[in-house]
Amino acid sequence: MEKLADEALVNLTVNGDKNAFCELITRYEKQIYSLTYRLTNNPEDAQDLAQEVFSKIYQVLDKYDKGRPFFPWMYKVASNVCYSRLRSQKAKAQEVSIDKVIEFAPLAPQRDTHPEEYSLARETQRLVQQAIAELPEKYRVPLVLKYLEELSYKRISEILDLPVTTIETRLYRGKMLLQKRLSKVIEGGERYEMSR
Amino acid sequence: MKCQDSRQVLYTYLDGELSSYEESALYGHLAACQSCQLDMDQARNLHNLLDKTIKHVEPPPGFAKKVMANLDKYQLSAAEDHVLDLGSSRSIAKETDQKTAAQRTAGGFKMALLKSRWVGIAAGIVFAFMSYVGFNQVAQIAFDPKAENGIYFGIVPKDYHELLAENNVKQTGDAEGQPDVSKDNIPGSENSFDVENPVSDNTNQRMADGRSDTLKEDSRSGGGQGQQPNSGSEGSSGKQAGQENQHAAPGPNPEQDSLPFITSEPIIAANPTSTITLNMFGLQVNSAAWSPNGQQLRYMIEDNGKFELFESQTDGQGQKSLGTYNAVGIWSPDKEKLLYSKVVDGKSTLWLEHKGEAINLTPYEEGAKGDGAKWAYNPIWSSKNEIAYLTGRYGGTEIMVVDLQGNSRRITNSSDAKSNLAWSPDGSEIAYYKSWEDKGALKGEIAVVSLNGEKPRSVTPTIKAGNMVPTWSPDGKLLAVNVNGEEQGIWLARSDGSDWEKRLTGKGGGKVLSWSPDGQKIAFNDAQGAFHILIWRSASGRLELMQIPPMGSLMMETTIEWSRDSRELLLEQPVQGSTQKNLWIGSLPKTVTAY
Repeated sequence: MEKLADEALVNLTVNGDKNAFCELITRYEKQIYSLTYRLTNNPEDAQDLAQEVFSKIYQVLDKYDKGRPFFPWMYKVASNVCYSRLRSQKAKAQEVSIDKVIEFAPLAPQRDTHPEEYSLARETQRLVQQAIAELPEKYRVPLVLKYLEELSYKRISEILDLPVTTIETRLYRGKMLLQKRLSKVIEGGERYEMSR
Repeated sequence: MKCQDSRQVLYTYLDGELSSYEESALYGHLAACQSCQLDMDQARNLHNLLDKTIKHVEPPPGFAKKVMANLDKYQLSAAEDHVLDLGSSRSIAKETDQKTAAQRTAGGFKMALLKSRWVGIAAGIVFAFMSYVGFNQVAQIAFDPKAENGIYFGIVPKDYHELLAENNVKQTGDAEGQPDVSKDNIPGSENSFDVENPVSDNTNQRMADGRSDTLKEDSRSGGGQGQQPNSGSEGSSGKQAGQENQHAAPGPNPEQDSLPFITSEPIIAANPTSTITLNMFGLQVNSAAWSPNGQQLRYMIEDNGKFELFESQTDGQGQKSLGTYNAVGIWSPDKEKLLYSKVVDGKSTLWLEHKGEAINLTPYEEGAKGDGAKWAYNPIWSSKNEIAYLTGRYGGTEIMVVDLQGNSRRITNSSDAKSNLAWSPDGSEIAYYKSWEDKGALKGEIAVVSLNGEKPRSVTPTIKAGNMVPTWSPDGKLLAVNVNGEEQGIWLARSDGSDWEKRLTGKGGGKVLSWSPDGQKIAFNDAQGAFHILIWRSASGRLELMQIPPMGSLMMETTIEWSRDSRELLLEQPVQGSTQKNLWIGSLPKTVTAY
């Protein structure tokens, strides 16, 4: 089973072999879990969302065109499940508007707790993760696709079914929002690099 | 370009998605606009933060089993939850070009490197990966079925001589519309000056063409995912494929072959993974270098007239002191001894400092000429721990060599001006720029002088040049030259003087040129000080050119040192009005360093 190509595993799965699908999950769980974790910034939510992604893939596997590589198809399904889920969550929660997000107070490192364990690098990373997770999903999803899998604007536009120019604009706006929120972290960049 | 346009474009630039035309416009604007330079710094800081933060994470243990256990449950609820247009998803998946396959492969390759346990996928990935980068760029593939945790494979890239020569064949072939042009058809002596940089669309098109070619090979080779035996036979088949593909290319003996003839500028890398990440070190320092193990940084910080030497990781973590020195200078190849200039009795002298002891290495000669600053200057270390330097004590400029015991000898005996010394990798010869005025114009050439007393030999023709900076290939067979002046660009010459006039790019004209230890890359700066990297080996199978993001002022005076693994660059940039310097660590994109 481990030696079979993705496409062969899909065939087996469609014909009822669940072990074949388990093999596909094992192959790609890291990439899918990374995607959901970077989008949610929460291990439990990430697990739930990744579970949902694999369930969706399982469900629509018979629609996969075997003449094409499996991974891009799977990643497109995964990204769309995540995007839909994030959107529906927002609708349910009736969260703050984008304008409000822009006015968010800049995030600043907390130094008061456990100074002996305090690590600037870790704290910086925590703030960046938080800022990403709080971006509107239409900026967050392309941003995570861009940095996590190093996808080109063209590939992101194919995955999200949007024009390349829209992807470029969304990435730009997303980064502008992050830049505002992370201004203290970015300005202190040099200090954060050092641990003297 | 206006500031407003520049701001949005900065981010696109950092994502590696700007065309070369737009890049030029951006650089032009940045050079003149301090405010946008600051924006660039901030944008780069954010880009680096995101790059460091958005990484893959391991799923919790037993995740796959959990998913399987819940599959049916989720299936029922999820089916109604998502409105996913699978028709469109499918059609777009169909439209996805073969580049997608290659991208997936690149991702898969990374995974496989992370101890993938599946022989089948590993074999498939290697096969597909090779198709992506081109079989012709890989000399050897080895599988190790005994590796712990499953299979391990390594790909050995070809020697850069072969790649350069193949690049030659490919480019000529493209120009004539014939993919396989025999070596005899290569116009070896033609000059490339007339061909100027094609517009970005063309270059991108050419890159795309190159990729589709290699992908055709992929389909020809049967897409053997999961079908390959997990033994050494894989390696031999990979090698064979490479050899089949290089029938027009020269063999492993580069001396018998002509240099690559480049008909056009290298491709300006404009894909999203081609951006060089530049991180500023948090302190201003002096005498920065990679540490002896090649993993860390060494640098000096002034402290009450003395200079304290530190070693730390590139992010500044783990800093420790390694003692104090009397001055800043240049480090020996083993990074243990420091060489610096000091004025004694009005004359510049060379001093070696090691373990708290400092000795004067400069021979004193009664009655010798030369003003103070010209007594001994511009020293460089050889791999044999000898030091070559320039002196004006005999009237003109001459090269002298001294060993660590202070035994010195004069190497040249001619009155022309000499500069830009470069030791051959084996420490037996020195290349230098010799120049003179002819009818009001500065002319010059690169010469090589051996330590054994032979007469210096010219390795380039004499040209009108403001400056020429040589660097040796790691095997000592080639010299690259950064030419400033009418014939600006990066040129290639054989170090035995048998061949020249092969310009790799019209960019260049700066003072810096450095060949990476793996022989695959050349870093240089141009007449404006901006740094570029030429890469022999790239996904497109051609020469590729990348630019290091501009770092602000005084880039012209910035020095550069490759890391031992040729993946990173250390840039030491002078700071206006300060004796301390800014330090930058440039990291090459993963696509370049993936194998």
